[in-house]
Amino acid sequence: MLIDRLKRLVATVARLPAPAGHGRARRSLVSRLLGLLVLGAGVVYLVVNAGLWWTSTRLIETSLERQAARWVAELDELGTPLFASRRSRHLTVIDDRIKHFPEIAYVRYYDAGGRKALGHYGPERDLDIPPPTDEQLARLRQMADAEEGEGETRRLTVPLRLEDNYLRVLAPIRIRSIAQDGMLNFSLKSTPAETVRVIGFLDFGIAAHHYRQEFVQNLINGGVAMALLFGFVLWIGRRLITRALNPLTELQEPLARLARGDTEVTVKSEGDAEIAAISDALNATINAIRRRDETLRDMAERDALTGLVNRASFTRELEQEIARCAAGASSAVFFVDLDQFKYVNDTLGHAAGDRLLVQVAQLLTSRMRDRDVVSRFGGDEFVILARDVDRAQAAEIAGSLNGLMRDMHVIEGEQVVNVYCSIGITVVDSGRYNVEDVLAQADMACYEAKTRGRNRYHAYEFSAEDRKKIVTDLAWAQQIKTALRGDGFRLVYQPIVRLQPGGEEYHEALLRLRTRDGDWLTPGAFLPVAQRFGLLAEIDRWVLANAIRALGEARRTGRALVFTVNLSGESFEDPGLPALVESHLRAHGVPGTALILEITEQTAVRHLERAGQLIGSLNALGCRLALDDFGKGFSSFSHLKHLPVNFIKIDGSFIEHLHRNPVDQAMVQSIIQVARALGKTTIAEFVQNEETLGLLRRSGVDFVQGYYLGEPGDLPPPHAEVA
Amino acid sequence: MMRKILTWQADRSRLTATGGAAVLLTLLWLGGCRSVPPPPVPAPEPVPAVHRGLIVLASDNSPAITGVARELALRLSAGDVESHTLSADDSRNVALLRRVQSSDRTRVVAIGLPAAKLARRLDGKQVVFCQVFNHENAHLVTPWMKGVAAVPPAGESLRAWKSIQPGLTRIGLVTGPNLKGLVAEARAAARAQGVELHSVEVRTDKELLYTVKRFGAKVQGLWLVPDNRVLSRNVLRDVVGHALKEGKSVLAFHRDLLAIGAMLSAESDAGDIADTVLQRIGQAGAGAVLPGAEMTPLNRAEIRVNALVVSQLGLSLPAAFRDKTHAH
Repeated sequence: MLIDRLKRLVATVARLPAPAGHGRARRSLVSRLLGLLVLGAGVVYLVVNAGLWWTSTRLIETSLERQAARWVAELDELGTPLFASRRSRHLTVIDDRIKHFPEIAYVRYYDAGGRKALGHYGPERDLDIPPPTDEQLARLRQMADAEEGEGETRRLTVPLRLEDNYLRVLAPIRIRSIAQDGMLNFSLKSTPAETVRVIGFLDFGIAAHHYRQEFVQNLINGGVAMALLFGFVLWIGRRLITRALNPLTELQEPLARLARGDTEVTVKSEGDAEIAAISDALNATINAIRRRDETLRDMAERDALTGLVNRASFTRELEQEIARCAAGASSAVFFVDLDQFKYVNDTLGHAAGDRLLVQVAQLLTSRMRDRDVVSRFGGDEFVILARDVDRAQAAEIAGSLNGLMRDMHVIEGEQVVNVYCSIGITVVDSGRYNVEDVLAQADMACYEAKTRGRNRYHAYEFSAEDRKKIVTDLAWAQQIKTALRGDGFRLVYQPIVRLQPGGEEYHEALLRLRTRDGDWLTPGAFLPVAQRFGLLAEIDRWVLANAIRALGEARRTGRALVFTVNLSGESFEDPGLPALVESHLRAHGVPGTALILEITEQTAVRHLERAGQLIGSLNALGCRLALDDFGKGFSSFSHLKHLPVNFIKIDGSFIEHLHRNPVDQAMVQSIIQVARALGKTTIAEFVQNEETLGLLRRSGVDFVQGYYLGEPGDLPPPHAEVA
Repeated sequence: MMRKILTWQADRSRLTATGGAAVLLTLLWLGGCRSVPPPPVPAPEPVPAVHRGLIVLASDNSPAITGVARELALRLSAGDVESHTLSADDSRNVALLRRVQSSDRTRVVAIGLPAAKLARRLDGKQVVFCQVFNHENAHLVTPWMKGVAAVPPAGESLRAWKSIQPGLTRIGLVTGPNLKGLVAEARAAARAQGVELHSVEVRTDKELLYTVKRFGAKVQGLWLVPDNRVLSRNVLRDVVGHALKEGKSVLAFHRDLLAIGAMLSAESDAGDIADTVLQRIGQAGAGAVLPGAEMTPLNRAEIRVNALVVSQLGLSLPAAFRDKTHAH
C-alpha cells in the first residue's frame, strides 16, 4: 500500500512543472503549517483577549460592587455627625477621606425626606445631579426596612449619564433601636425585632471613566504582554516545525530529481519515525524504479536471447559514431550472417539454434574490444561497430572473425556442427552516409560475401550497381515509412470459414502496400526490406490499430466479427504491445475475444519465454492466440503443450496437395488429433478446391481458409455457412 | 469556641424583712461603704403586715418578668399576693386595670414596662415598679409610684471591673438622652474607684458607634448600659468588636455580649430585685403617697467574665473570679 502511494506521490511529483519558474508556485508545507500556526495563534490571541475583556469587566463590576458596599458603610459612618444635630455643618473628615479615592466623583447626604441635601463632598461636588426620585426613595426605604441577610445589598446602583458616565450609588442611612422593653430579655439573635428608621440618604457617584481608562490601559498592557508571549511561542513553534519538517523538506530535491528521471538519487532516512518511514519507503521505491528502468532499458536496448544490444540501440551508437567520423575518425561496421544457421535450426531444433546464437554472440564479444559495439539485429544477423579502425584493420578483424567461426564447433548430443559466417564490411570515415546507408552497405557487402561462396568477408566498394540496390532498398524503406504515416497501407480480409454451423464470422486481416502505380503489393514484397530496416514492429502497430478500428466499426453494425491479425517477431520485443492492444480495444469498444493474434511457430518457439509472457498478457485482455504456419520448419508437438495458444493454423504446404498426397493427409490428420487432444482449435489454410475441403471436413478440422472459400478483399457482407 | 465565663455574685447584703436594716444598708451603700463584708444570711422571718394584700402585675411571661414574680412569691405567703399577667389584648388589660382599681388591696408591684404603664393609671394605689429601663422616658415616677432600678449597682459593677483590670483609669460611657440618674450613679462609682468617666449622650445607634470609634485613646474601656434607644444588635457587635480590636475592655449589661468580645457583664439578680421591691413596699404608709426616693438601687450585681478576653487584653484573672469559672 505504502509503495503504491509513494509511486503515486512520485508520479504526482513527476507531473509537477519544473521548479524553475514554470507555472504557479506552490506553497510549501512548512509555510502552510506556519500559516496555520499563526492563524491558530491569532485566533487564540483574540479569544484570550476577548475572555480577558469579559473576565476583567466582570471582575471590575464585582469589585466595584464590593467597593461600593464598603464605601456605603464608610460614608454612612463618616456622615453620622450630619444627622446628629440640626445645624448645617461641613465635615472635612469626609473630604480628607475621599480625596484618596479619585474614582469617587461626589458624595451627598440627604435628609430623611430625600430632598434636602445636608452636605456635598468630593472633587465634582457641584455636578448638576437631581435628587433621588420618589421611586428611588421608595425602593431605598423598602431596602432599609428589610432585615439584613447574607450577601444582601442595601444600596441602589444607577447608571448616571452626565458629561461622562458615572455610576450613581444610593443608599439609605438608617438607625436601629431595640424595642423599649427589649433590654429585659436581651438577645443577640434577630428576635425580638428592632425598630428601623431611615434618617437620610447617601448619594455618591463613581467616575466610570476612571475605571475605564485604567481598565483599557491594563488591557492594552496585558494584550501587549500576551502578544509578546504569542510572538515568542510562534517563534519557538516556527523553529520546531521547521526542524521537525526539515527531513520532509529535504525530500523535495531528491523527489524532483526522481521526477526528472534520475533514479540514482538516494533519500536520507532521518527525522521522526513517520518521516523516516516515508524516506525508507521512497528509497525502496526508487530502488524498485531503478531496477525496473534497468530491466526496461535492457529489454529495450538489448537482445533478450544473447544480451547484445539490439538494432535500435546499435543505430543510436552508429549515428553518434558517424558524427564522430565526420570529424576525422575512422570506424568500421561488420554485417555478420551465419551460413549454416537454418540448417542447425532445422536439423537440431530451435533450442540448438538459440544456443548457437548465444555462443556466436559470446565469440564475437570476446574478440571485440570493450569500446566496440556488438549487436544482434535478429535471426542470425549480427552487426559490429569497431571504433577507430581503418580499412586494413577492418579486414584483419573480419578475417579473424571468420577464423574464429571456423574454429568453433557446435556440439549437440552426438553431433558436431561447424558454423561459418559471411561478413560484410563498410568503413565509415566521413559523415557522408547516414545510418541506413551504412547498414545497407554492410548488408550488401555481406550478401556479396555469401554470393562469393560464404565463409569469407567482403569489404564494400562503392559501385553503381550497389548504389542502385541501396537506393532501391532505401526507396522501399521510405515508401514503407510514408505508408505508415499516411494511407499507403490497407487491410484486406480473407474469410476463415467454420465447418460447423453457427458462431461468429472469422476473417484474417492481411496487409497490402500501394505502389506508385496504384497496385497493391502483398507483404512478401516489402517485409524483407522492412525487417532489414527495423520497421516490422511499427507495421504491426499500424495493422493492429486499423484492424481493431475496422472491427469496432463492423461490430457496431451488429455483425459478430472476429479478426485474426499477424504479429512479427519484432513485436515480441515490444513491451508496450499489450498496452497498445488494450488501448485500441477500449477506444473502439471491441471485446478482446474478437481479436485473434497470429504468431508463427518459428517466432513463438524462438522467443519461447517471451512468447509465454506476451500470450499471457494478451489473454488477460481476452484476446486469443493462433499459432501460424504450424508444421513448417522444425516443429515439435511438445511445443504445443507449453504455448497457451487457442488456434493452430496448419501450414499451407500440407494443404496445398492434400487431395493427392497421402503423407500430407496423414500429417494433417495427426496435427488435428494432437490439437484436439490439447483442446485447441484447428484452421487449415490454402484450401483451393472442393476435394481438399471434403478431406478436411472428414478429418475434423474446425476452420478452413483459402482462395476456394474466399479471396482477400474488402470486408464482405455476411457470408453463408459452407455446406 | 469555648468561652470561660466566671460568675461572681456580689451578695453584699441580703435584705429580707426589716426595713430598718434595709435603710441602714442602703445608707451604707450610698455612703460608699462597699468594702464592708457581707453579713451572714439571716434566717427567714415572718411576712410583715405591710406586704399582705399585695397585687403583682407581670408584663408578660418572659424569664426576666416571671423570675422576679417567682422570687416575690417565694418571699410571701400564697394568700398575701394576687398575681396578674398582662394580656396582648388591651381590652383585657383595661378590664384587669378596673379589677385592680376596684380591689381593696392598695399596694401594687408592676414588673416590666407594660405593667408599669398600666399601673400608672391606677388611682389611690401605691405602686412600686421594677424591671423597667429608661423609666424617665415613660414618666413613670409619681408621688404614689416609685421604682426599683433595673440595672445592678454601678459601684458593684465597676468594682468588679477594676479588680480584674487594676490599671483601668479612663472609661467611656455612651447613653441615650435623659439618663441623668444612671450617669450620675456611674460617675460617682467611677470616682469612688479612682476612674475618670467620659460620658457622652447620643441619640441613635449610629451616633453611638461613631462616638465609640472616636474615643480613641481617651478611654481604656467602654461601659455599655442597657439603653434600648441607642442600641441595636449590629451596633453592639460593631462596638464590642471595635473595642476589642483596639484593646479596650467592655463592661456589658448582658452575658450574651461576652460571646462577642465583652470582658465582663453585670446583670441584676431577680432575688435582689424582689428584696428591694419588698423593701420599697415596706416603706409605704397609710396614705396614697409612696414616700422615699424615686428609684431605689439594687444591692447586688451578677458578674460574669470572659476569661479569654481577659487573657487577650493581657490581664490576669483574680482568684475571686477564677474559682467560679465555668464553660459557657
